[in-house]
This record gives sequence, structure tokens and C-alpha cells, in this order.
Amino acid sequence: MSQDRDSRLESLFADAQQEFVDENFSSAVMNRIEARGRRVLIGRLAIAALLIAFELLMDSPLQNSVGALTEMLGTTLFDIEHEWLAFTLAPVNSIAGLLGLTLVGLHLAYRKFFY
Amino acid sequence: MPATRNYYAEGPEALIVSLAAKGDRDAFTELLRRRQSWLRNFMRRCCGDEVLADDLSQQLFLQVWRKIRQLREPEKFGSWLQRMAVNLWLQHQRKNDPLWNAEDEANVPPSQQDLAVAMDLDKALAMLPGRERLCVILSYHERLSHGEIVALVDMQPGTVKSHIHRGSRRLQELLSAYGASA
Repeated sequence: MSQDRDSRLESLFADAQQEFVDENFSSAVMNRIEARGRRVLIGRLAIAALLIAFELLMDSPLQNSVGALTEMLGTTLFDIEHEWLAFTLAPVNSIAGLLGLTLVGLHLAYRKFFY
Repeated sequence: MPATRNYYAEGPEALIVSLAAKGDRDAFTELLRRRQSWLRNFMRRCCGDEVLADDLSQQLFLQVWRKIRQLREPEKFGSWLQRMAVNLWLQHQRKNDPLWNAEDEANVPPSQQDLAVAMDLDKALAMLPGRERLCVILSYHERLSHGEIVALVDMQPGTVKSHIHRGSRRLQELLSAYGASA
């Protein structure tokens, strides 16, 4: 591919270059970084406080829900008679396994079509 | 500490980038010092507005601070920064310029009054449609090859070539008072 450039335009671009070594610019960026860091910290503290409050309020119902969910995820999809085969397929022969495989499949499909 | 400052100022960029990626703020400040000229010039060519250019440059450095840990090869910091700058500018254009996607004369055609204004490179660049302007800047300011521009802006090679050709011709016309061949 030809890269022909007009020499006069090239020199105009070169002449337009300015040297910036501006401490104010650097400190403005660092101030914005500090401010963002503070906002993130406050956000995390707020979320932590909410989670603690939620845990205190919902202690018992939450534990019941988590227990039920864990039980549901562990439910086997197919009854396999042979013990060794059931043991081998155990990681995928459950609702959790199915969910995991679906997520991996979706991730691979996303990478294939959108990258 | 002056000794530390000298160490940062003289250190190779890849090392400074690695330190900044580990959260070293002095190293990041050194990167700011080294790269701000390039970035602020690039943004000024893109938007022709000093205040906006500096604001976008600051936004970009904020993004760099957030994402620098993701950079696997510190020695490629320059091209990584360049790609982020182009992407930020493209995002800004898509968000703020409804005529960004217009293929042809999107901006005000140069009148006699405009020609007087166009003596300034940035103002002349601002008269080019968005994509054309970006391709010209990447070719002349960044001195990228057509292939590199294609990879950076996700356009067809023929489109990039014609944008550069057309954009250069328009710039030559607008800047003829400076002696650029029309």
C-alpha cells in the first residue's frame, strides 16, 4: 500500500507539535485518580454495610434459601445404574453441571461471534 | 526524594509501566510526564479544541490507570496507549457528533471567512468529516502506514486510502496560504 504523504502537510503537522510538560496537567489527573479511588472506596463500604445489614435481617430465611438452592443444584439429571459410570459423570450429571456447561458454551459462542 | 525521581526519569519505559501496573503512583506520574505531550497534541489535532483535548487526555489517563494491570507486555505501552486514544476519540465522536458517520462533506463547507480561519491546522482539520480527519491525523501526525490505520480504526483498506487522499487534498486547499500544495 502506498504511503505517499504531501511533504508540505507533513512539515505543517511537524510544526504544529507542541511540547507540554505541565505539572498542573499531571496533578489534575492524579487528583481525578484520587477522587475516583475515594468514590470506589465509599461505594465498597456502602455495599459491605448493606450486605451486613441484609445478613442480620435475613439471617434465617437466607440460610434456608441457600440450603434449598444447593440441594436443587446437586439434583442428578439421570439415574445411572453402574456405580463407576455414575461416579465418573457426577460432575456433569446435575443441574449445577448443566448450568456450568451452558455458561461455558455461551462464553465460547460469544468469543467466536463477537471477537 | 530527588534520587527516586531521577531513577524514574531515567528508567526504561517498560520498567516504569510495570511499576505503575503494580500501583506505583510515582511511576504513573512519570508516564504522565513522558506521554502527555504526545497525547495532548494528538487530541488537539482530533478535536481542535484545547480545553476538550485536555479533558479527553485526562480521561484517557484515568482509563490507563484503571486498565494498566491488563497490559501483558509493558514494552507495547505506546501502541496500547495509541489504540486507547483512538478508541476514546471514536467513542466521543459517536456520542457527540451526529454527522460522524456521514461519508461526505459533513461539516461546514469552507467559505472565504472559513478559509481565513483555516490557516490554523487544527481548525482546518476540524472542517474535515470525522473519519476523514482521523485517517489524516493517523497518517500525518502519527505517521502510521495505511495497514496500521486499517487495523486501528476497523475500516476497509480502500476506504482508509480514499479518506487520506481526499482529506489531504482538502487540507492542502484550506492551508494553501501556508504553502501546502493545492
